[in-house]
Amino acid sequence: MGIDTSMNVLIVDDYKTMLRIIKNLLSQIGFENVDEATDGDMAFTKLKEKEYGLVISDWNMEPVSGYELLKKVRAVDSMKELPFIMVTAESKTENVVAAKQAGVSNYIVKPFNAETLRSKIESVM
Amino acid sequence: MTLAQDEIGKTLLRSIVSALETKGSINIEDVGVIFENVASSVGGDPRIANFMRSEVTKLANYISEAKSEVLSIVPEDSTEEFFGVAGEELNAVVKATEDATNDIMDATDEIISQSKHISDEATKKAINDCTIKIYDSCNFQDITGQRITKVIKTLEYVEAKIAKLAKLFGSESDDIEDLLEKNAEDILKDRRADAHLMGGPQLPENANSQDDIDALFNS
Repeated sequence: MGIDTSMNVLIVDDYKTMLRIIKNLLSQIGFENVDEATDGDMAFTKLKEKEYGLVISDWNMEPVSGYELLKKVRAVDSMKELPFIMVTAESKTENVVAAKQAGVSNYIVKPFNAETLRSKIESVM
Repeated sequence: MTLAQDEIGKTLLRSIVSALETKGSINIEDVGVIFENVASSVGGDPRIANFMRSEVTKLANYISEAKSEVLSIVPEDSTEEFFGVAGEELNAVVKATEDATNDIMDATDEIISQSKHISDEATKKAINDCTIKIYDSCNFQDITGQRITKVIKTLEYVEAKIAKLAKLFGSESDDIEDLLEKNAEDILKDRRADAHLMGGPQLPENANSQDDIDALFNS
C-alpha cells in the first residue's frame, strides 16, 4: 500500500532520543517533512499554525499529555479525522480503551520496532 | 474509677505538664520517660505493675532504638541530603545512557551516509536493515529513563518522610530543615487531568504486548 510521504508529520515526545528515533524511522519510510514538539501544548500550537497529515504522540508528557492533546485535537472540527497514533509505554488495558474512546487512530506500545511503526502508519492513512 | 486508675491519670498529667514546663513541647523521646513515670506509679496488684513496667520498658526501648536508627540515617554535619547522592547517581545514569544512545545513533547515521557509496545493492540493503535494528534497539533509553525517574521520585518521597521523623526525634541537622520544606505527598502527587492513567512502563510480566493491544484496539 502506498503512503503519501510528502505530507507534514508532527512527532511529540519529551525524550529527545525518542524524537530522533521516530524521525529517523520516518525518514527510512520516506517522510522528510517532520516537525517536533516536546509536550501537548507545544504540539497543539504547531497544529493550529500548519496543516499536518499525521500526528505521532507519546502519552506521558508534562505539562500537557498526549491524551489531553488527542482530546483537544478531536474537539476541533478540521482535525476530527487527522490520523493520530499514540506511541507510549503506557500499556494497560484502561489506557488503550480510554485512547480509543477519545478517538485515537492507532496505538503502539514502547519499545517498538520500525516494522510496527510502518504498519500502523499504513493502517491509518 | 479505681484508686490505681486515678493515680495513673494524675501521674500521666503531672509528667506531661512537667515535660511541657521544662522543654516547652513534647517530642517522641519524652513519651518513653512519661510511660516510665506512669509505670512506677502503679501500686496495688504487683502482677499488673510488673506487666505495665515490662511493656512500657519495651516501648521505651523501641522508641530509643527507632530514634537511633532514624538519626543514624541523617548525617549531622553533611551538606548532602541523605538520599541526594543516590538521586544524583541515578540522574547520572539517565544522562550517561542518553549520551551513549546519541553516540550510537550518530555512528549509525554515519554508516547510513557511507553506505550510499556502496554500489552493490544487496550489501547496501543488508547494512540498511542493520541500521534500522540499531535504531529499534535505542528505544531502551526512553524506557529505562522513565523507570529510573520513578525510582528517583520514590527516593525523594522516602527522604522527606524520614526528615519529618528525624525532626520528631529531635534532630537539629540543617539538612532536615531544608527537607522539611518539601511536602512528601506533593512529591508523588500528579496534578495532570489524566494522572490516573499514567503509571509509566509496566513490568514485563504485567504489560500488554503489541499483539494484546492490537486485539483490544480491534475489538
